[in-house]
Amino acid sequence: MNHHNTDRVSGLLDGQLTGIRLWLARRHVSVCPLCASEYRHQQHVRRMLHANPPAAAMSDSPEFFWSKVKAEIQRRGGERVQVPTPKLAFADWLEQHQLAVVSAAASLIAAFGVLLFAVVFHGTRVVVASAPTSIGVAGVEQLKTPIPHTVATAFDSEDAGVTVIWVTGLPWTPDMNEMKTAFANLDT
Amino acid sequence: MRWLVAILLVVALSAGVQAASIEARLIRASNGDEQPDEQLTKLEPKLKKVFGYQHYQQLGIQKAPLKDKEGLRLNLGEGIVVLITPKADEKKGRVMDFEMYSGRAALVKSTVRVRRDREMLIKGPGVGNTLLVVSFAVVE
Repeated sequence: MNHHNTDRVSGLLDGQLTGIRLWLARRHVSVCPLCASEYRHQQHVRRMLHANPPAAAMSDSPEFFWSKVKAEIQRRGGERVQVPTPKLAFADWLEQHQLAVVSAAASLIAAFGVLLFAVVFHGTRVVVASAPTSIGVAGVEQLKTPIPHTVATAFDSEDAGVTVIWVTGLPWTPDMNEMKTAFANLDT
Repeated sequence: MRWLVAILLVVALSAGVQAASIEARLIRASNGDEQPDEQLTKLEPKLKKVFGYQHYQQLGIQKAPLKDKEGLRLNLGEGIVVLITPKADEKKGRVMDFEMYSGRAALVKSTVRVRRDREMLIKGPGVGNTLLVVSFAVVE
């Protein structure tokens, strides 16, 4: 008996082993601490079972009892039986619908990402001077600022409900007359 | 009687078609304590939201009917002139070339699609503590 075999320990206790197999099993149990422990454990279980027989003994033999159960099943064959459905806790529900929960979370994250992208990239549109803009954004298709060092930006102000062309870099003048003079001398 | 109704219908339709016009204003934005300009009652809240100044004064206004591919020259005063050339009337709005001049200098040259329910505002040059703004809209 080279391996720890609980079946052989059971066989030894039940008196099923004979001859060389009985001798080998006894020898192994006497030298192997693991199998000796298993032997003592099973021996203890057998003693306990022997000392405490089942309190309620069946009045019928198992075969007769099963025939009665079968007959009852056949008698109630068409009868509908209401089976109580267990009430699930939220944690149980989550466990049962893991795939749905993961899908919903992924969809939510994707929708949030798309929304964030739309807000970030469609809130304003910067148009570099002399560069054509795309159709539909801010209602401005082309935008040029002929004066050097000026930049024009087109955007929709949804809050105010207007489209704005924001020109920066235009010469500042202290009053209207100065402005007229300054721009009159600018040739674009 | 039928002829009269037909003529009236044709007149009404043609009047409706020709009713679209462009309205451009030159506005000065400042932080003074002046009384609100009554001519800008409708536009002032929008101007405040975009430019943030407290007071807006209309320096000039010009209105002219839009004719297909016919250029319009609107002199808004203070040397600011706007040239508008309608290009197409589309479902989404009127496409037009827009140019804004101060004297000989072209400040902005643009092709815009103006929606009927939406003003366009152009931030112009700063003058002292004020800012010049041009607004224009299609008025049906």
